[in-house]
Amino acid sequence: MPVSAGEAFTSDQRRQIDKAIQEAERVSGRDFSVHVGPSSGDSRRTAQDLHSKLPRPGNSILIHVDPVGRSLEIVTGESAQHSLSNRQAALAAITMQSAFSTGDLARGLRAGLQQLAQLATPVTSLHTDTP
Amino acid sequence: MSTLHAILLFVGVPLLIFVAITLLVMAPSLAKGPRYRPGQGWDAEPEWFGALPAGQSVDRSRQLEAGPPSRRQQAADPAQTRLGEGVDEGSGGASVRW
Repeated sequence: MPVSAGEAFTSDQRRQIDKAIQEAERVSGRDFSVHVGPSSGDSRRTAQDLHSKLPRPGNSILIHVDPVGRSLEIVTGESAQHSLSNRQAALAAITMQSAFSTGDLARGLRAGLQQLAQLATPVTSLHTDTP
Repeated sequence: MSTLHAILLFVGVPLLIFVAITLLVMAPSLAKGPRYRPGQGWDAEPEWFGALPAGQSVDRSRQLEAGPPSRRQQAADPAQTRLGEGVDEGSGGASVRW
């Protein structure tokens, strides 16, 4: 059954995704945004365009999910890239991809956000030379 | 045991059990409502979570994504592809399809 207008997520799922974003931002110190909607033309360019319009693009990680074109884009900002490499982003993308292919957008987003936050968290270096 | 009694017992009771099992199986999906299935239609409004881009409001009317799901056929429209201009090409990330 196709998803009808305004019913992409239940209110419960929306709450869970919002919570996952808050948790991810708390853990990693990066800004997370999730956009679920069709792309205008090329999905990568749409995602980059949306990312550049965010309040702090450099520190932001955008997840763009296009359910029509069945594509997922993760865009990381200049500064966010230092802690989240493209390889790590691809790892989280695969996690989300497996949930999305079963049609479970909410679960995929939650799992992806959690993984991105963990990967984007800077490793605390233990300085052994300090007393 | 009368014929009516026998029919009720051997047809009515199994039928009731069938109906009960069918309801139990369908109840979760009925409660959840329509859900997304890859490759099928998508008419829902675009949704934002987390930080919003400048100029976007919380209400679901977004100028960038407004329109019917058939927009994929409009991909060749120059007005649509022009949206990507001014994009920071240095930004990284990942893309997958499903």
